[in-house]
Amino acid sequence: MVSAVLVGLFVATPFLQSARDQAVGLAAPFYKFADLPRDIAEWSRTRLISRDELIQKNEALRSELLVHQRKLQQLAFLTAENTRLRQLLNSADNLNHRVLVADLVGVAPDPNIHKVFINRGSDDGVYVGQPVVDATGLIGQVVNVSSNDSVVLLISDTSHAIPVQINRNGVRLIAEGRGSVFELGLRHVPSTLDIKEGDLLVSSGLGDIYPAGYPVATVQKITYDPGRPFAEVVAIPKAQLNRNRHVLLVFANKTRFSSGDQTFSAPPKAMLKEPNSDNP
Amino acid sequence: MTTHSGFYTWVVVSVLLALLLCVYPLPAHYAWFRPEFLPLLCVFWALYCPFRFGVVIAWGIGLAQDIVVGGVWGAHAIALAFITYVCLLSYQRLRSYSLAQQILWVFILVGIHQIFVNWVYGLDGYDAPVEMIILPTLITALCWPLVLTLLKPSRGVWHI
Repeated sequence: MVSAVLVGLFVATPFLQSARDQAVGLAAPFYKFADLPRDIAEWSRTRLISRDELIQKNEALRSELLVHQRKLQQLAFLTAENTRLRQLLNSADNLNHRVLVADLVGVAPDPNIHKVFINRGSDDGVYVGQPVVDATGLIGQVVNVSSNDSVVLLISDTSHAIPVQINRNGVRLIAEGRGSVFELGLRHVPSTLDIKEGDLLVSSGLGDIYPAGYPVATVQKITYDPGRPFAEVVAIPKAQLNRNRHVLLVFANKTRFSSGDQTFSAPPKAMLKEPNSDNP
Repeated sequence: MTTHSGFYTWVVVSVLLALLLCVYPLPAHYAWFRPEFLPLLCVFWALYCPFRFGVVIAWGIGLAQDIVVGGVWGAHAIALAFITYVCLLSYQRLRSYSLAQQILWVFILVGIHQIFVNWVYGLDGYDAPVEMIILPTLITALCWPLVLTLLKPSRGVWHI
């Protein structure tokens, strides 16, 4: 009976939201403790390393840096050009978002539930509905925040859908989670729509959760079934949903960020500025 | 009195350990093979300490699991409370069974548990395919001898 009431409150009302936020703080220690062996392994991998190996790695990183610096030179030029063109179009240049690096401390054990725990909470300025990205694409949004930890709902969760658009022609669609970290489904795609395998889907910025322009998925397979009203489209998420250790929390909504400015107390080195998203 | 508090300490410790195993990170492909240790614990305590372990404690344990795994609150609570109730009704019969028969019974009890959990999760929009309900149930039932070997000596310690 009590269970029934609890389940009802949980599923149908936002009544338990604050209790759920508190519970994140209770649950996080279990994940951190269960993750200890991994942490130890990682620590030993980074500390117990031979000098030769370090020198070799250093050289490799140096050459990689050189390559990236060359690319960056071009990027500066492209950014300037992009800004000029945007000014020509009279649109605000709002692609520079502040981000905060967070570590993943745990993954919800039930394979149906695609949620992860990260080690940043309301003390760091994290808020419910905040978009989370990694180096390659969108991961999801924050759903519960305690003071030091928060829970992120992945875009592949069955209860999640995200407004996207095809990068090639700007057609707007909805990408929904299918309960697998390797695929998203596109909802209501007309059979006559101009969509091809390999098309990049980026967030469209509709829905006020995710900022526009972050890569979400690439179209993998399109099945046209004349017996059905819509085409069946499967897309692969760009972000590596099942193998991330570090994620980026995006402070996308500037008004929201400035209103919560006084609570923002993250160490400055954790902040970094992302020059641009992957796409022009 | 001391033995009682000792018993409950032991229950709490075993539940904490089981919760750790619950969230221990597994590769995505093996996540379906994770045994559910908490139903096994509840079945064990209900069968072998039926006068001290009851439905309310089982409900609390289930709620703790719900909070830790981040699912729907009340799902594991109602499932554990139900199978504990079944065990309390039939502990005399179940205790006299052979190990193989007990494993079969545990399979059925854990299956009921899984059905309850998935039913509640279904209310929140999550649905697991049937074979993915049966597989963890089977593995959990096969872990029953392990739980017996680990926990039965504790009965002597607390004079249960």
